[in-house]
Amino acid sequence: MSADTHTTWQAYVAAELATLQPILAQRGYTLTADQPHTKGERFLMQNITTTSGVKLILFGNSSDGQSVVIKASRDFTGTQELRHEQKCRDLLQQIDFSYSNFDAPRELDYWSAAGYTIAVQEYIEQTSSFLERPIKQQFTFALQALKTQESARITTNSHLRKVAPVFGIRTSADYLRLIGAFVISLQNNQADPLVIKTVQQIAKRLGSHQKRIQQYCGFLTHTDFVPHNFRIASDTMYLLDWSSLEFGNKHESWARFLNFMTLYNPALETLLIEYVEHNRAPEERESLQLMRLYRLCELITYYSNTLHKSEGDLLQLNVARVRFWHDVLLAEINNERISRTLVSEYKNLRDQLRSQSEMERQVNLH
Amino acid sequence: MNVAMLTPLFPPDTSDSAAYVKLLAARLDITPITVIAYGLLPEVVPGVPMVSIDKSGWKIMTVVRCLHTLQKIKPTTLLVHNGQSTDVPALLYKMINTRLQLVYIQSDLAATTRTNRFWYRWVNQEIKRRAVITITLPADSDRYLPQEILPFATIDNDRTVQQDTWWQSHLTQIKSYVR
Repeated sequence: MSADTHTTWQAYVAAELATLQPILAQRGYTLTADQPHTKGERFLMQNITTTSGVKLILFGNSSDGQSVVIKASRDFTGTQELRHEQKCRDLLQQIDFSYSNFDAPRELDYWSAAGYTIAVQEYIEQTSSFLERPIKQQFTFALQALKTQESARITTNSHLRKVAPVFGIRTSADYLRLIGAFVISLQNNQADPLVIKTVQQIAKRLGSHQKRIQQYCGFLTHTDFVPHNFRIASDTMYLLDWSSLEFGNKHESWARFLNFMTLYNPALETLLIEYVEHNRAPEERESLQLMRLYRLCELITYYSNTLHKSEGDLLQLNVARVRFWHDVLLAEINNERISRTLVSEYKNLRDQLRSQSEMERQVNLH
Repeated sequence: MNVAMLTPLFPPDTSDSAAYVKLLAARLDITPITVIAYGLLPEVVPGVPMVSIDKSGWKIMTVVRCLHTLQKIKPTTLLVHNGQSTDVPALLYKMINTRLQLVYIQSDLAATTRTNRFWYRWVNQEIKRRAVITITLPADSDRYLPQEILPFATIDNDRTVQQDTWWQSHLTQIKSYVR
């Protein structure tokens, strides 16, 4: 990893923890000894399409012994992100045009002190993580959560007026603008010309199917709908990271989830695609494919952006990531799935190149 | 004979009512029939022309757009699915075209109780009074919406048969009022 970036992150974590601990203690919160979300590749994570600031996600306990998750930041965008998440949470409980309710961990505390904005949420204990569960449960939980998101849709100006000041709104024009930005970013990072050419090809395809993308816009969608943002307890799946909620093409969350499952559970990916093919309109299937292509381009751009911040094994791993997701993209262009041999080869390489601290961060993450 | 179906909800909307209206449009087997749906880009029903009405902007403009569409289509029978955005233009159109055969379908049960405003209650009563029939869908949408094909579940054939029977009688009832 790039020594500069990683050292800066480690110094940031150490300084922030030293300042934060007394502030939290005053309010009756203590931090646990192990803080997995400060380790491994966490320092590289910076969302490329939404506002994402520097913040700490910490585990702790309240004075009455309850396990809690503490999010804290004094960085401008990090603070904005925490405020944004709180506003999303409040508004979502109030909107009157949703057919379903959303489950999220309770917010226990929210305050500002010494330049920090701090949010405390209950920690949802789970007996097993999403991916450890039987595939039937995974399918049921995922589908239910996706349907819950789809049940909120902006159809009138009054809906728009209600949500626009809080949630991000993405139209087909925004997706085209963003994929254009991916191309520029890849060019600036001097990415493989073949990768740039493929992403340009996808940009063109999205442009010629703008109407289809727009048809399924206006829906609530979680842009980071993957198992590390799920907690399951008592037959309820709680969705985390509400700052990733926006109103856009409803297949953004589907696409993120399916692309993730290409790597972690291809059987679940297949079941969900079959579900759409059997139960939804052909237009939906087309929109889903377009959004998968878009999100794969986003993923490739994300990893391409990390290359200059990485060195050694991590650099090698991020190069492999760009190559792997490009292979997935090439398959998806033809509505095909990447061969499982390629997936397992990539996973072997990834596991060899991951650092010890990243391995620790990954434990029970999904 | 010229039939139009006016609906506030149509897929991509995910409500039960929207799913029902799309099924009804596909199964009605009446020609010509035009679906007038709110929303910019409704899903396609093969062989059924769709007219979409932009719901953005002032509500009064939405009513005007809807009335303008009805004037262009000049239906002899109008199937209206309940909702504030459909009741008002449908009632106005019926007042202008007294010979119109108006079939009122309460497909969005929640919408009937969503508002308690006096003027809307009046509109709702008036449209029902002027309709040749008011059809209210069963509260349980499992009685008419097809079961989803799910990987770990089998289709309940008895339920499918009951749904087919329900649809047959439902379509026969609606068609009997079409002029």
